[in-house]
Amino acid sequence: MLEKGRSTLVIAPTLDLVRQWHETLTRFFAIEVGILGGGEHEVRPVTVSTYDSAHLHMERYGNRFGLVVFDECHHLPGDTYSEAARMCIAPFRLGLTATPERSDGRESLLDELVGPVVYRKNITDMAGTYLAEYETRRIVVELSPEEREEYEQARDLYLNFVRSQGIALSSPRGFQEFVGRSTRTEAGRRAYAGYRRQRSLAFAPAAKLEKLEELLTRHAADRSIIFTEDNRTAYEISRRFLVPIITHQTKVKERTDILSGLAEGRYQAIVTSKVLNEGVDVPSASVAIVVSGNSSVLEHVQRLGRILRQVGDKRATLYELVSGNTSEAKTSDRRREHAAYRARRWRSP
Amino acid sequence: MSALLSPDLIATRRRGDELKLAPLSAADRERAIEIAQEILYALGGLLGSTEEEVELCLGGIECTTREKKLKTALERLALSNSTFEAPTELAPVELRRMVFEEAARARAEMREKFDRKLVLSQVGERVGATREELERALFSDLKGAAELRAAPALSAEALVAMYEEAQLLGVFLRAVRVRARLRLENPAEVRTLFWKLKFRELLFRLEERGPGEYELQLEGPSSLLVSSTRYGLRFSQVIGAVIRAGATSLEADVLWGKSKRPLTFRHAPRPIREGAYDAEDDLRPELSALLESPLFEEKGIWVARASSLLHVPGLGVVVPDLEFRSAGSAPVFFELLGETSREAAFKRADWARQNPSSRVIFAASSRLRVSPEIFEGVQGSRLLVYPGSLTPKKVLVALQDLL
Repeated sequence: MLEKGRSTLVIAPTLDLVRQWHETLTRFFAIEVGILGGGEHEVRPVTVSTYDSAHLHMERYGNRFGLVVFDECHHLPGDTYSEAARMCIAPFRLGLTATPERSDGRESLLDELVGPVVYRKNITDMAGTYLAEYETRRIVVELSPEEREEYEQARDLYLNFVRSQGIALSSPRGFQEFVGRSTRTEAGRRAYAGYRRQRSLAFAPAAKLEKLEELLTRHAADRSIIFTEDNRTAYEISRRFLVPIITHQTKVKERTDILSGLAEGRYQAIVTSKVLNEGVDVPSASVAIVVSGNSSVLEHVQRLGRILRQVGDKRATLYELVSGNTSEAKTSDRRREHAAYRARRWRSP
Repeated sequence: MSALLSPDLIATRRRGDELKLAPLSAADRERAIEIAQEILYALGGLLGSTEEEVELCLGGIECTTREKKLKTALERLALSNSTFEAPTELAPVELRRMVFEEAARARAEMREKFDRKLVLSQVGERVGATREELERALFSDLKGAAELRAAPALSAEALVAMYEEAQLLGVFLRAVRVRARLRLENPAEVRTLFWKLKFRELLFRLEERGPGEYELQLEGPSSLLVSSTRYGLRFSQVIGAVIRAGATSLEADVLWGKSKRPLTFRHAPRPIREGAYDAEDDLRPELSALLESPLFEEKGIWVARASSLLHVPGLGVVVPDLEFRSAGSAPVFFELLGETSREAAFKRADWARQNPSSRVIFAASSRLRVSPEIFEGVQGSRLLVYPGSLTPKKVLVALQDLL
């Protein structure tokens, strides 16, 4: 970058990542690094920007940079952000991601927006060297008889409506169609309530919370991050186990305090829904407990990534709690369709 | 008391390129009043409940599918005119920190089972609160956790009237441009309206079309390149004021729906005249500071609100904000420009060039990015570009050659 005298723009998806890039570049190159985003607007030969700010300002600054680095570049193929790449004339481009796959299949656009893949290494290849050794464990729990009965009733309500409307949930727009139709009639609204209820029962049955208690006790000496699919479950866990919570409602100051508390050992565990999936550096964390999640491979790999930072001889464990004989089991199968989850057990470097 | 409604709660229909509000029929109005009564009655009985609980209870009020939009809009308006407050005085962020740290210590030293109640009791002792109070306070800063302290002091009829006003505003908020015909009986009414528009820092043009007849052209929120909630809020406040000032008709070019389809919306307000209006309230703080500054008096300069109207080609009627006088000299007018239109400064320069006998100081913040050079060659009037804030001293320097 400096050797070739190319001005450089680094684009990252979150303010946390922008801050991390800014600190690292300033320390490594001992230069003043500019920032675009989060209320800052300072353009320098080396500048770090959020994707949002890059999109807003690329029309003006797109001719200023010779090299553009797209961090977490799986965000780039979206309708809006891809414009930022197109408005920029930088001949040198570098995209970085551990999870290029997108659920909409638009990762193929990366060839046009950034260029071809020049280097690829799987998580499994780096475990024990650049990344911590890790294992993943799926723990299946059962619903109580009362929960099971309620789950089946709610699910029947939902699926009967889907069938009566001839909606194919397996089609790409199937679920969207269900949501659209459910708002139009009373039966539809009841079906949607049923969908939500069966989902929330599968997300946090009593057995999962008991298992979570057991895991927190077992890992009382480690640092754990608990992940949930929804905020409601996250708050329930925070209240019940009195562990700090980070959601979109958490203010920056409290969020920083919670993360530093986890790093310093003031807290052994924190709970979050989705906001820590990406872009947060928590090197001390060695345990991830996925209480609930969606079917996205990307999200699941990102959650695993939170505990893989190599520190000393750290060994990381990802637990996935799944309610047996519910739709969640299939969801879990889908999100584990990645090399990172195939036959992982401790392995010596 | 009022509130804005999102476009999904505005009942409209389209006729060709024209957008029309779907007015409430007599039967609909009767039903709207019934629903409003139920909402207000429910709120009256829910004092002390959390926002989340209140919303849940209001959701239980029955209505038909056709009435759902109306009911949601009435609920939204009733809730925004209710008072919600945090349930306790304990600071939740600090409290959470204490509880979670204590829990982490307890878990680290744990011999048998984690005792949640014991942790809460220990922290409760330290802050002088019971376990139940602690439970309530722990997440009391979250959205939906605030408790209802006062239901809206409104009749059902007033809530429905508010709904109708909010429907109208909801359409105007999607306007690119609004044209209003106004009947303003005397210059004082023109000045009052002008100051009201200027105080809200909106982009507008007011032109005299005949004796007492004016046309106002107002740039709407959708005319901005980047959507601005601030501009939208100020705009919504002004639309009501324009109607009350004596508008006889309004026509808006709106961008409607997800596809932002360009449509025309016409509205003929019922004749309303607002009562006595204290224009002094609508004075930007920088101008109030000039009026109250002792500096001018010390220099023998008298300052007051201006009462003259200027007619600037391309801009229409312009009312200066202040006028300065000193013994034996003609008055010097002063106008503080907004921070959104550089065009306004250019038009004033053209006018000043054509009116060499004029004596006006136009003041613009350096944030407007205009240079005093655009007044080069102009006699009498000038442009004062000030960095930071406008101070009496900066104005005094500009006045020195003119008074």
